[in-house]
Amino acid sequence: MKEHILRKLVGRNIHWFIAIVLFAIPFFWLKPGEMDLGGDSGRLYFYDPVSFIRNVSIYHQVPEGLAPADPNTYYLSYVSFIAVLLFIFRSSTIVISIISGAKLSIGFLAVHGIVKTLCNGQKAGKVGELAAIMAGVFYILAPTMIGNYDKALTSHNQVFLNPLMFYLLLKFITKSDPLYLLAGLGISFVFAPNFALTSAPPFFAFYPLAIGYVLLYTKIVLKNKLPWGWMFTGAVLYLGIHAFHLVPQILNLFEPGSFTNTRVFDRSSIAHEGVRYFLAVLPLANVTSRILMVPAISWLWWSGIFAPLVFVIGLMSAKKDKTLLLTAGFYLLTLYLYSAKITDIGVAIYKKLFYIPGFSMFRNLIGQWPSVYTFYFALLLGLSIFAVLRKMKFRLWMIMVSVAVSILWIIGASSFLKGEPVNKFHAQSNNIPMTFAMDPRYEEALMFVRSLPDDGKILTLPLTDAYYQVLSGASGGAYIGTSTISQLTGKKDFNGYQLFGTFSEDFMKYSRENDMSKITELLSTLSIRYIFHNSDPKIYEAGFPQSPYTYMKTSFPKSQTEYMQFISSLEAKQIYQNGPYAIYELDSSVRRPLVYTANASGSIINREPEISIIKSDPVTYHISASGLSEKSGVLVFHDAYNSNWALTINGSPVSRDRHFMIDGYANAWKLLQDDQNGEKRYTMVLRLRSQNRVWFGWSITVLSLVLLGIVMVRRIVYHIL
Amino acid sequence: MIAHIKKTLAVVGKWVHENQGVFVGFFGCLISAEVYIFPKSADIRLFSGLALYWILSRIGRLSSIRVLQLSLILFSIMSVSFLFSGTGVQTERIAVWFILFLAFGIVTQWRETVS
Repeated sequence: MKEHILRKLVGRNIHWFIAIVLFAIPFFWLKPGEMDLGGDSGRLYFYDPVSFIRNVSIYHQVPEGLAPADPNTYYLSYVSFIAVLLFIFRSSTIVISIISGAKLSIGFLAVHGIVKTLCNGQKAGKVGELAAIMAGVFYILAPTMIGNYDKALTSHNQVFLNPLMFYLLLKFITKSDPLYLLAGLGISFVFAPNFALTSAPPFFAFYPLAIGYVLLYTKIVLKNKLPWGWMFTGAVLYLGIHAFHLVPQILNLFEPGSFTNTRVFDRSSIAHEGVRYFLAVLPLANVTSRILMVPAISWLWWSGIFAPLVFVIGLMSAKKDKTLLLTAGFYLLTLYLYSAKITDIGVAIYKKLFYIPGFSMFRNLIGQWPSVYTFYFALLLGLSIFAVLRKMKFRLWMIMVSVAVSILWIIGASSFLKGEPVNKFHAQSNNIPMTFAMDPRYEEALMFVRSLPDDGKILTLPLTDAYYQVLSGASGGAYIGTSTISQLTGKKDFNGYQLFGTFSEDFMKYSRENDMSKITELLSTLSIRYIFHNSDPKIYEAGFPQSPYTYMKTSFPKSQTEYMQFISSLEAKQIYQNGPYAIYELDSSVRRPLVYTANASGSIINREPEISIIKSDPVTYHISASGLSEKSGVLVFHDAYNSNWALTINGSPVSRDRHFMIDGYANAWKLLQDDQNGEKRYTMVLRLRSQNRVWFGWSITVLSLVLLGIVMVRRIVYHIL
Repeated sequence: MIAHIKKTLAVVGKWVHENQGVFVGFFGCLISAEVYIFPKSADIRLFSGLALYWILSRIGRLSSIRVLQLSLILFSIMSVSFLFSGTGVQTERIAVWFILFLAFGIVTQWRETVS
């Protein structure tokens, strides 16, 4: 009788039913036409993936502000996948919902599959099924997993990728079936941003431990041989497939002075940004709240007791269960990494770890470890439930308790399930929703920006504290995220404090002093030609009295009316107006072009003869200029200095020792009359050499993908036959 | 002298072995006292406590179940403390004791499993 009820309760396909329900939930979060974009990653590829690919993910340069040479090529495969989805479904809202649904349903299914696999060695049966379902439900609804759906970083796909890749790795090694490995490699290519250097913290937090767990499980628990041959093949294919972003990024990592190089290797940077940051966040890392996983609803705190209680009871009742012990060991290790405050020695050891190159990526331990901790928490929970249930006589009673606990977790996550993560207001705003629909007038303005000449950068006002742009949506919400002008039009845009580099404080000072001539000079130094002003009060004083303008308001206009006066004080004329969106062009007498010639010291700009520039792509410019009237001069190029920028004059490369930094950030080359080589004009090509790394990486990737395809087809044929 | 120490240890070991429940309860009380009497946590007390338990459990031939029972007691105290004072200092300290004994229990059980 009990077995019959058990079978009814835990049917064969119930996990598929739960997965479908979970997949459907995010489709109720957004209204048709709305999007929840923004944040540090912006996620503008959900809105216009093709422009995003063209402007962000092909070239070895950031299309913003000073335009440093930094590769973002890891986006390409993922954004192409989004483009395909958008082509099929024709709605950004649907595509966003599909990705959110995948996080929930695949995350659940993968954890379910792992627990089931780990229990299967012990003839899991229906009890194993129940334990696996509970572990899966817990994983996706845990308080640590439901918090970052708003303004999600690209690496947030780890919610489902971590357990999915673990599952495939576990199946590959335990069953010695390379198809799982090959499938994992294919998935890793599509979701490449999660395997790129930009996602280094979540990647290195999860994968070394996951590989360690699977290897130990195979060797110690199952006592099976490891498929070394396929593991080596997999590692080689992995590096090959990801060469398109790994090659440029790794070479960039070893380039002295680059942002990543400083972050990883510079000892003073480690001390400043690693240990100090770690010590600043340490008081927030409570051990108790990690053990109990206290839900957001405070009165439900006691539901957190269940899981740790089951851990201990499970360990007590399942003697000689190596799988459970191994999982418990990994749980404790991740608990330590997530909280650090396990004894004073524990904190001291953690501080020492920052001297391992790269470990400073974990300085924000409360942000980097939760998903890994939750993953092992869920596995341990599933295995503990299994250990307890299989020892109990009254299984039905225990099942009822388990279902009741699951319901408590669902209640604890009810606001999440109702869509609160995306349907909330921007912090410190006057109740401005995060979800928005793109304003058609802004879309027209973007079209106009695209048509502007490439020679000149854009200043977007009002200026924000970081590198954000604020946009009011047609439905009343607002977008706060990376520059839509840079990422969707390819025009280099200055919209916030951080994008001005070393000029930020000067700009603020000149504004405070109302010194418009100095401001004009600064804009000229930065080659800013256009000013884009969004005069909508809802995106400034009316909607956002503080963040993201708090710091900038200490120096810049405090209202849109004042901003209009600010612009009128500059020598600029309006060239476009559409609703609140206006574009001004600075007078040619006060602005400097992107590329120009000057006298030998660079102090006097040669207005005559004029030079013409053709931008082939963001990293290649063809320049044509008349000969120098004097014996020598300089060619100035106003993108961030990088030794990889190379100049060729009339077919001959200019030696590196004639390349130097000018204006505190830009590139300049010493020109000699001899360079003319008897010609009347200079014909010059300006090219970023490090772009070759991208093409080299891509050639390896294409080759590896072909190889992966061949191996996969052969394995499938082998399976069928 | 050595014979006397051996004899004393044998007596203590026998008592611990015959009164395992009492021993575990007593140790739980001892840890609670440490948490609520001393205002600050100190590693020396934490690791001395662990070492003392390890020595007594060795001479008393206690299994991993007992240390897991002790961690269960500590978890209960931690939960009650959380109810009354949230993630206060005492709750955090008892949580650390709980984690250390849970880790000790896992290691002990692993050794029992392997042997």
